Amino acid sequence: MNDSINLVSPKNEQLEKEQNRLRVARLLAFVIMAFVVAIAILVFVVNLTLPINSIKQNEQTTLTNISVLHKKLTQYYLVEDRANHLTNIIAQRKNIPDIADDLLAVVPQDLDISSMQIDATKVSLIVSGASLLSMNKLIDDVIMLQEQKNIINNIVMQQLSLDVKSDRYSVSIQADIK
Amino acid sequence: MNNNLNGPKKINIDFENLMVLYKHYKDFLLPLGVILVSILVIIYVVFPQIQQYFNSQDLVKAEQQKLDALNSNYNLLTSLDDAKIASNLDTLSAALPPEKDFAGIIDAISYVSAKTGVSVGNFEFSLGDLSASNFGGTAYPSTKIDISLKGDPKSIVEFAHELTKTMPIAEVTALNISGDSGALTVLFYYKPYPVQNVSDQAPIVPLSAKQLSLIEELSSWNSVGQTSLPVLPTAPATASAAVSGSPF
Repeated sequence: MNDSINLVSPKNEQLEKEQNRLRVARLLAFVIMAFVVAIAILVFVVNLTLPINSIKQNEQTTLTNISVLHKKLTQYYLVEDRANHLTNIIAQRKNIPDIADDLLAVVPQDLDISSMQIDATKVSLIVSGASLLSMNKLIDDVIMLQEQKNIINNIVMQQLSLDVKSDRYSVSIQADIK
Repeated sequence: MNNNLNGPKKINIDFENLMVLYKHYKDFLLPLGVILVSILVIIYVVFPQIQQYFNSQDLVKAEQQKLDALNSNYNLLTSLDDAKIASNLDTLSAALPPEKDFAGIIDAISYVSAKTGVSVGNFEFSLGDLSASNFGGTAYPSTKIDISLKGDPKSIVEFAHELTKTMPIAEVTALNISGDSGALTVLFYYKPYPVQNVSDQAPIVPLSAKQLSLIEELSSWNSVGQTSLPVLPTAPATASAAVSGSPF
């Protein structure tokens, strides 16, 4: 028998190939369809399970609870508002009484304050007494106020005078407020 | 003849040819159709659903944050003591009144006068600009008072000191002492309550340590409303003050 005789006709081979292609096409179509259906269902279900409604319901419940406390809430906001404004005012206001306190503290006992004027920018102090040593100490201490407490600067001794009738000295000091 | 060989091959698609092709490939039509429909489903159904999922997730996140804020507000509010809030508001409103508080100012001056032993002489109110634009934002309207005082310099400075620690809040803007008399220029601040609808949904920030310490500090200030009003020292007063007890 001749082995070279091909019993399978070329037509059958072609048909087999066609069948294979068809099987592959069907399988591919099924896989794609199944995949798409699975994904669509999955995404649909996941979308359904997102808890938006329950969150909104909880929000509504909490809002209802808060609305019962509305008066308290308003008071709380007002407390916050007052506290903020008071903090600002306290931070902004000038400490003139403190400056006056510091100046009084450096005036020696044997000197009298004839005049003290303090405003937002300037301090003016006129002190009288019989002792020049005390006046000298006053001037030194006022200079120390500038250096240590840093509340005044540009200190100027405007006048040092003697009233011969009363035998008293008078010194006038001026400074800028920092 | 050459044109036919080298030019594009003309295919005659007539009905018979189509029928032949259809018969030959008709088994492929269903799988191809399924694949095509699947692609369309992906484009028009699955993708929008996925997009919606992400949008919904953002929405859930936002709503969850809102809910957390509301819960936090609710918890904060329930944890606050009603009496404490009311008392804090009273203290703060006494310190910074919502309107011109002439009675409070005169009471404060009287109280400090008695406390420091400084006699109060003439005093003069001036109200400044009363236009509404001065009341908003961080502008602080004030009532300015010039006060004449009798006392030694230390007492007058102490008077000024005490006045700045007495309700309503005041700022000494000028201090003049001459011998045993003095004059103060004082601003008493006030601030109308904010005109706003309090939203239940706005997040509530707990009072900061600074604010709490301020309330604590203010509680230690002189408050005429919480103590017995001292008697105003007998000192020469202006005719208007003597007649009515209040210039208004």
